[in-house]
Amino acid sequence: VSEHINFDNLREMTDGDAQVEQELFQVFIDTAEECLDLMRSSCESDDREIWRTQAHALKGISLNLGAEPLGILCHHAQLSFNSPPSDKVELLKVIVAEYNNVKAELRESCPSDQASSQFR
Amino acid sequence: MNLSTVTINAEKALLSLLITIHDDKREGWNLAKITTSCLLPFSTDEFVQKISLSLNNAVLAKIFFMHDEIWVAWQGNTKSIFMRLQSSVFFFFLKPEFESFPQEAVIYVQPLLNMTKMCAHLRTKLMQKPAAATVPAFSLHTYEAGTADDVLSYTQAQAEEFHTACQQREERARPHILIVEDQLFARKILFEMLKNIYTVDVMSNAHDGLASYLDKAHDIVFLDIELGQASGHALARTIKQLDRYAFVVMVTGHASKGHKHLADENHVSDFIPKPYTKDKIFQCIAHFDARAGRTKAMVDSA
Repeated sequence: VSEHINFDNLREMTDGDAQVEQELFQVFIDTAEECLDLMRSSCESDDREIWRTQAHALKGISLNLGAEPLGILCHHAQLSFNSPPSDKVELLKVIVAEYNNVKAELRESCPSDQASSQFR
Repeated sequence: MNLSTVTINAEKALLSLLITIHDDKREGWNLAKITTSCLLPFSTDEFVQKISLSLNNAVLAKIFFMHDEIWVAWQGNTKSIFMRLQSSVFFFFLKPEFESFPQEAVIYVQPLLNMTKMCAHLRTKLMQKPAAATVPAFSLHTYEAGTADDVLSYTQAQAEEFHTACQQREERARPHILIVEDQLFARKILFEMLKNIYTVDVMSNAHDGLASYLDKAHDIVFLDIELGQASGHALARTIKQLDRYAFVVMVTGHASKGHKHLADENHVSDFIPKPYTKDKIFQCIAHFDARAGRTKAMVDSA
């Protein structure tokens, strides 16, 4: 059992359709990286609303994917929008580390080399 | 990772650990103080189960349950483990009224640097220890969900179009569904789940969602709350003012009591927190079918 993602709920929702899953994984990666980029830049500009909305968005898709530890960290980030940028930068490092674990598992779960290449 | 818990004489046990850390000059120990008055009611088993994953990378961890505080001591990476611990406490146990200043609930303490203060604190607690442990009562809560007055605008022509579209509802064998969700990932999951059974329209913001609803008079609307400029609450309110029998379901990551309260004020039919299950979504549609007088046999034969 993975400590980063539980695919059970997602597989039930997609009826185990591998192609739909691959498409969802790609959407997850694209959206997550956009959220992380915006969270990173919001630390530099100290834009708290951007930080909050992007943390909320990443929390939502992480929990839907079944990546609960990542979702839990993003919930913390969402609540911490008023924290000083230096604290947020530290929290973001932990979030990025967990995201990389999730991404590696998504890559491993791809059945074909072609699909797998999408995540590199 | 070796995790142990102390529930009896926890003050003494923590004091003893601190003295060992101090006397042996043991580096690498960290402490977190969790104030239980900031938390929802919990059992010790539930607490340990929910936070144990955050301590996975610790070499050794001990949790001390006192009547008004929980202390977590661990050896290992300081920042990462502390942030994961904080996150788990906030996610699973934090009372809604502490969401705007959550840091007060979980505080980091470096034992070697705070030894004197810590020992004094624990000795005071030992002297003041009550006869029986008490679980803090749950109390409510501030509303942070925005204004209750927002309503989206539409033209008279759109309203007339809507009333024409409504007349087609009774001829539908299965409900037509509208999904309004700004996140592509969440839109796609819901759409993929429903597309082979129902007629489904998908919109990414409240204004497009309203335009689509006025045009087609959907039977069921699944609405996210955070939709950019206009919120899902504003769209729900607009739809319910236009059509009091509309079947509107909030599907959201904002599961706080404030948002639930606003959803209730808007008389929505259901409120589904994310992450949801397939069963929950289909139960919701079955609820609509039951209200509309459709039986399962009718739906299956259609």
